[in-house]
Amino acid sequence: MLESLTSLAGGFGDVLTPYNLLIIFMAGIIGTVVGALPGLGPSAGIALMLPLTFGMPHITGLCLLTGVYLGTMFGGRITAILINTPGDAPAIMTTLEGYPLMCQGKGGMAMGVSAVSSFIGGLFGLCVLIFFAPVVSKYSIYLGAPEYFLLMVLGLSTIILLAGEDVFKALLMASFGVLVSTFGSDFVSGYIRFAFLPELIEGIDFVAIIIGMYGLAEVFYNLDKRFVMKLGKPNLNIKEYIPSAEAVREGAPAILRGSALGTFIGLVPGLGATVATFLAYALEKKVSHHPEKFGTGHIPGLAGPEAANNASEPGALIPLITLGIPGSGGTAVLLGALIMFGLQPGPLLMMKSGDVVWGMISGLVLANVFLLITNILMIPLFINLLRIIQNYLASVVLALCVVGAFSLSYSEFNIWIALIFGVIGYLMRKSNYPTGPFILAIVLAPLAENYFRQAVMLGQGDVGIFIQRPISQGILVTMAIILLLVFFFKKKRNINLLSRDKTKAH
Amino acid sequence: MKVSEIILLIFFAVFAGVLLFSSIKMPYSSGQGFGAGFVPLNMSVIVIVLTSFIGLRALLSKRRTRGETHKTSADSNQTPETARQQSLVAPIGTILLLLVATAAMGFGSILAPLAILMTIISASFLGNSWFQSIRMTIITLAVIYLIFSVWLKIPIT
Repeated sequence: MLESLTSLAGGFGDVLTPYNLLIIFMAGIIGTVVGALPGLGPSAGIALMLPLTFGMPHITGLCLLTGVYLGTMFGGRITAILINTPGDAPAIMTTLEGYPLMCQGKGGMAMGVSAVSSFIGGLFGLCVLIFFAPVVSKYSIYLGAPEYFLLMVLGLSTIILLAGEDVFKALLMASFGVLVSTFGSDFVSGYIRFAFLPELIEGIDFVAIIIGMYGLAEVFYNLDKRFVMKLGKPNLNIKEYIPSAEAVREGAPAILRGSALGTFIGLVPGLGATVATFLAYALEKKVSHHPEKFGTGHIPGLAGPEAANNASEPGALIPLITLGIPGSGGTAVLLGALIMFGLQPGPLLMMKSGDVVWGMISGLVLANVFLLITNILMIPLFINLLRIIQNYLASVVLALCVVGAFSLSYSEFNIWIALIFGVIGYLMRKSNYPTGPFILAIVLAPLAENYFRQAVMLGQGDVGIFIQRPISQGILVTMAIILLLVFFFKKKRNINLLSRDKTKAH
Repeated sequence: MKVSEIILLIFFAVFAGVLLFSSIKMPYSSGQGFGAGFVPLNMSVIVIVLTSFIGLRALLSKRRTRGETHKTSADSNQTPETARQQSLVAPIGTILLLLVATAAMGFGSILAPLAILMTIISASFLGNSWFQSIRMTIITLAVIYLIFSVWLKIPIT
């Protein structure tokens, strides 16, 4: 631990120059704006800034990229809360509680809670990165295809928690999500599935789906219900944007849980921030004494996933730095950047280029602090902007969604995808079908299928491989315990509800 | 059962049916493992089964409650048929307009069809005047052009 602190101090020594501080500050703002735009996430943000790093010192260049990376995490929340259009996949969970708060006129407070939760989650993840990266890297190499598959199954099982009232509707949506995810080339054999059009060879772009299902569907639904936001006139009343003491008290336990969960999820390559936010939301719903409040603007449902999202990103850097395995899409682009700088991610990176790595980590710590300040200061700007356009909201959101979908691959095909899923999402909202299981299945199903088939091949056709390995057995036991606890608490809650009804009747 | 749910279930059934038919031709198993057709085939069947189950359940539930609704008086809060149809004009109109605009975007310009679409939606469905709608459209698309095309170098014209 002392060694880590010494290295971190050395990193700060390299980073704390006026030029580097300015770069980190600007990178955060750029990342926030990019992350707020539908269709553009961490991968796009880093890819766009990459050319700017040519000719920069390694530490400065990496600080720019990681600052943008972290900024997009913060930025994705803005449109999710304001107009129910997630800026990226991890922001989907933010829409569930953030947007209802916006509709109640508490959008500024929601963004404040989001910013603070993101900051604390990011800080937690960074502490784990700083102190535990070498330890974690030692054990993560023992995870193989069977273990990864079981972790995916664990993630998919949260569908039950996201199901709402009707489990069969949730299962149908999850199955539909799995089917949609099978389009394109198969990871294992390379067989191209369902390529009815040439554009489908690479599958259906996930971001186009969420732009349609959340952005466009919300536009159609609000037009149907003739919903008009009454946000009042633009003002600069700062009190409106600062979370109250009650909101802080309500959100604090959720932030801590989300931070811990997000960091753990981030460590597992492939799971990423999206899964972290889903699991954090499901966890909050499960431990809450008022699960009926979820979906109506409940603070823990917003704070937990926000913390998990930002906690998972430093965690995702651990397998990248220590094993050379990117933990998410954004870190995959960062891998390219590291190679471009002449660094080789892997077990020897910290030994050969430790100063660069610790400089990058120090830059992340500073970016996290700058982002909290800038995001809190930018909240009035975004809220007042929304107040100005509130009477034209449907047309503006539609434009952002169309342009966002187009920017994915510079083709109209993704606009068609967004439109199709916009109509599906609209019909789902009208018929009370949950979108969470669908999105979770789309994210996890391809990975689960890949690991399942790899594991079966590893076991030479024997599916018993999933129960033969010690870590797999541990995961199965954990799943069984969680299942028992879920049923136990559900039964207990039903008994409590019954006795409460009897008391009321008397 | 709502009309929207019926449409949704029919869509799921047709979608799964098409994929089931396509996945039959894919290899189900290969060597010592499962092939590319394993997941699509099984999931298509599951989707069809679940769709049928939900549809059947709704049908049986409707028959069960039909007797009860005859006994109760008409709900005074029930939306009249004409009001319900009127509320669908805006979303369905928007979807159709977006469909036409997306098809028009294939001719080279993204912003031009988008401008017309935004103006019509703002004036026809959001209650704004044509002048206000055109003004807001121009401002919005100018900002979008500056951010996406000029700053981020994404070719949006």
